[in-house]
Amino acid sequence: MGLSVSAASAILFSTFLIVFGAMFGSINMYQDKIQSAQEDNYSRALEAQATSITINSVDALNGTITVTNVGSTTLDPEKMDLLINGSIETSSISLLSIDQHPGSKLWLPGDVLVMHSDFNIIGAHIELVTECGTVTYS
Amino acid sequence: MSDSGTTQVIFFVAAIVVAGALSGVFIGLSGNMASAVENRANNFSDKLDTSIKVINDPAFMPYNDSILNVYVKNTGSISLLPTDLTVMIDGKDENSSSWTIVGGSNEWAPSIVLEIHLNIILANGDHTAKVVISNGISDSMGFRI
Repeated sequence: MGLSVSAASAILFSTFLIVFGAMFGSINMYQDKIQSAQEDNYSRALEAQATSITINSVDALNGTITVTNVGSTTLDPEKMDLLINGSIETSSISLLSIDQHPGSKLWLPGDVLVMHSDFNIIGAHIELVTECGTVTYS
Repeated sequence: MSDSGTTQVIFFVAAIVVAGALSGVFIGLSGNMASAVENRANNFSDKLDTSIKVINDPAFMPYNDSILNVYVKNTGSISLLPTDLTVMIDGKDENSSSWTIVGGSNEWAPSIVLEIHLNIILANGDHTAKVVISNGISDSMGFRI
């Protein structure tokens, strides 16, 4: 009788350890994953809040648009989208250059971005959208 | 073997069988629960990583020949499936739509714009476009035709 109880107890105790391990592992994974996703989410929200761009000038004859990063985040000019008269014309951008820093891919706060569109922008309504969805119009 | 010994063996086998059966049930249940927790973590994490924005110019909606183009930018941190989208105009689900990924990309990755073509007849005036991902994340925009 004593041996039976001991053996059954040993089996149940081992089971408890396995179950506890599995549950602890999955809950730990859940917390890690959610925490990481929440941090990314907050970071994106903060970045969107701190992002602001302004169109300085539009030289319609040359198709040149200059835009200043007036926010406090560094942007990627190549992830920006251009809408002309409501239609997306990002593919018409033939030049993207940071003023005084040619070749740079970092659009730092205060930097002026010079872009050239092959699309006819005379009298056009222009909209620029950053990578995080911040919009400016001219 | 005495009667007492036989009884003990029977008790021993019965105890092992019962404990084993209980163990199997508990381990199976814990496996299911771990799997459910993992699925829930993945779904919640995907939801937190998903963000979209309708980037149309509300005063210059591209609407010609009953085709309305809605531009939706992936502002999240994971790639999305265009087939998971539902587009509603003025609160009504629009099924007659097709889409293209702007820039010729194969997937709707972060920072990429999806162009949705809706075959719809709209009267002049104010309207609302709402885009919803299957995990519930959405964005909407009022516009004028």
